[in-house]
Amino acid sequence: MGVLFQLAAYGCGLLTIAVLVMMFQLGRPLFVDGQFFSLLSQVWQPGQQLYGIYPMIIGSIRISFLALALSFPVSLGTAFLAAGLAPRPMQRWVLAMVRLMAGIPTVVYGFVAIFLLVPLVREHVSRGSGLNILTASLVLAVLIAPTMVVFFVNGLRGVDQSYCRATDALGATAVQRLLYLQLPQGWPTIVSGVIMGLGRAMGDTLVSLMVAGNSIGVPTSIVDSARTLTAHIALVIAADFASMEFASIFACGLVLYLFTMAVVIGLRMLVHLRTGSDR
Amino acid sequence: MRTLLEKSVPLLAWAGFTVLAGALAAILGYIVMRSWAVLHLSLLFGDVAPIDAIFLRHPVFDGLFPAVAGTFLLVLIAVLLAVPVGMAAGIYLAEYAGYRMKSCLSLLFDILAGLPSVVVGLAGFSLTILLHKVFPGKIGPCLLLSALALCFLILPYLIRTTQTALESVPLSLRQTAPALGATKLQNICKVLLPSKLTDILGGIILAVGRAAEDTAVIMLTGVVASAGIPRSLFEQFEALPFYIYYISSQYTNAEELQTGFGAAMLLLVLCGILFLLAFFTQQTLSRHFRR
Amino acid sequence: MNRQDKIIIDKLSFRYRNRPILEDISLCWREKQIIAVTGPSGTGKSTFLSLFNRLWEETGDGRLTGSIQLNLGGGLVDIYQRQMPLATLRRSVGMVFQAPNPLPMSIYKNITFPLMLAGRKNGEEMTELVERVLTQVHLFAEVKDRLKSDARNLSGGQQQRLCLARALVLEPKILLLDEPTSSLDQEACRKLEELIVELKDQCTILLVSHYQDQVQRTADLVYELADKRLRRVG
Repeated sequence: MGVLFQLAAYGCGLLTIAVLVMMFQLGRPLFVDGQFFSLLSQVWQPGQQLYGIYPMIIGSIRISFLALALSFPVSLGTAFLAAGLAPRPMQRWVLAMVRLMAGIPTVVYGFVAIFLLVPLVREHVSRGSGLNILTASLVLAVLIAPTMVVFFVNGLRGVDQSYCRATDALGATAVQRLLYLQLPQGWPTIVSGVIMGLGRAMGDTLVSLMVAGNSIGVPTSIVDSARTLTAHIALVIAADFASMEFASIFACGLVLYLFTMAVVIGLRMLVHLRTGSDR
Repeated sequence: MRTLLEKSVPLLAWAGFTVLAGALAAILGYIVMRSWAVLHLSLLFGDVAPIDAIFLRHPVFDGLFPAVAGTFLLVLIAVLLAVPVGMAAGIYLAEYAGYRMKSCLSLLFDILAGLPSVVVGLAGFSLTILLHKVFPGKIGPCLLLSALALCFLILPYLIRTTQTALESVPLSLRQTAPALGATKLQNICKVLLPSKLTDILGGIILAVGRAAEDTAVIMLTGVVASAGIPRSLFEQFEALPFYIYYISSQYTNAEELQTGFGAAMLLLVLCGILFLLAFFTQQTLSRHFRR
Repeated sequence: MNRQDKIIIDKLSFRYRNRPILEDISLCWREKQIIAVTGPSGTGKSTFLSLFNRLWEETGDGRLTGSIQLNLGGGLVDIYQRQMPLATLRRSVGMVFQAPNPLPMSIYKNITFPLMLAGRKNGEEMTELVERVLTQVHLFAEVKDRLKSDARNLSGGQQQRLCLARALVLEPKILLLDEPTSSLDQEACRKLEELIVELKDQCTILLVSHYQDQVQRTADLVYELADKRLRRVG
């Protein structure tokens, strides 16, 4: 029986590696003459045999970082309420609301955005279709907020109780306790939350596919339409199996895989940092 | 300077919360408002009698039943595949693995958990292509492959839930059965797992929710807009989240759009119920502990 | 009740987490003395102490009726009245806990932290203040070369004296001591006791302790908390 458990665990581990190997295998045309790295910096112009994914990388980065920038203050504020500023019964309600938001399917966020947010953006911000980086970032900001709030609250509340009591007894207000004790003490978890949020924004497919516009050019402003790496994979899937165009989605897949690895390793280093500094 | 900061922080906090609560209210309110008119049985079954539809005596053309049934079958197969494997791997990590193997494997599982679902879908798609090369003409995108890819997607959650549940069993309880002569396996099956059953169950329910809402994975592995109810594992199928996505870009008239909102409401309620269920399952546990 | 009474407890009843702790207590105490509360464990001595700075409100639900009036500088005030700001109350009522709880920062920062909370600027006089309170708790000579090092590196006795200094820096009118010596060795315990007696000139001290000999050595008034009542025993 123990052997079966071991088999299952090794199998799942191998699976993770197999995903990477499979993408290398199918993206093989990319790796003759070092084309992989030139793809990362080329534009996408099938007419001239250019299948670079540079525009998608830029699109992904722009959208997810803007979403993060929009979501961070909102999430931190909500976490502050849930971790001390709001009256005690309300703290539970704030957390319940955040949990509920985490349970809303991504596709529903995208669906509502198309009919509610896109017309607003179209009328008041940009002239064109209303499908652009700004719209996608706004939706993603709401989408990643629950993840970040949960991490932030854990970080702020995870501070040793004896510190909190000491601070309270010295006459700190709730705001002061948050600012001068909980925030400085909980920052590694808060950074973890930011990284997780970025990971979710970067990895999301449906929202950017539905509201970012999917145009193939390199975006130059936040009201430009853009295509993300994830959306590119979903869009090109139907084409001819042997073409370079098809191979390019594996380049996207590899970039996303490597990004995930960087995120996971970054989070691990943060954990080490935290346990290291904690005498 | 400092007092200014202390004064502005609550302001920022309440403003942030208001924005978030407003967004949630807008989303929920809008969906309820737009789907209200179509929320009755004909949304699911069109003009076919529900009994006939459920026992497959009559195909449903203008209702969501095939999509709901597709999602149900898909999630059922994925969870049936993933639960035993995920729990077994979680048990190995918590109870058997040595330190080095444990940190190595959990790094891999963290990566698997972090992979964007479209990459998992791409992996499933790659598998389809490889299988296609081995058995030409026999295997294409289908229900089984979608379920397999979804199973990859939820595996890391199940592993992590099982592992943390087992590791949080207090030492005193952990040592009771071995002291009475139980083997390691008996201890795991008779004491450790049962003591954390609600925890693991909550994790499984969350995994079900995750599988039910995912769209990117199935988009790449076999879902289509219209297929009816699949009669075998190797057929293509419909699913609720994909239907919503499809309607958002391809709707031709107001009636279809209405059905789209109905589908969104349905998925929302489904996921809401699953999340509540998971929440209460885990709450019962913590209450049990406090006593 | 006479003019010198500066702590007045009036018909006080208190339930904490659905357990009655006190029932209908009325007492008057003069300022600048040491009042000790003893009693078997589990009767709520620590909770009783936290009534005086309302710290119990941070951790759980309790129900309080009656009043506690303290002199915080401008005459007697009821600390449970609505307009009483918690921060002001807690700055005038210092507290030292059972286990030393230095904050995760330097020795210097630990002392100046309450001043910073009260909105005072860092400066020359702050350094003097730190030196003064550390000298007062007989700690300055031991730590003067490492004021910037982490407070958690001090020994248990030193940490507890640091916590006392931290409470004193705000010049409280009342000092609450919750079994302050129970986690210290004998030598550190003796030092702290001497210190407590010295502090009597500055402020009123409420001491919770279950060491009879300690109470006898230090206190002016001794009460026993048992069966929801405070009974004078010495």
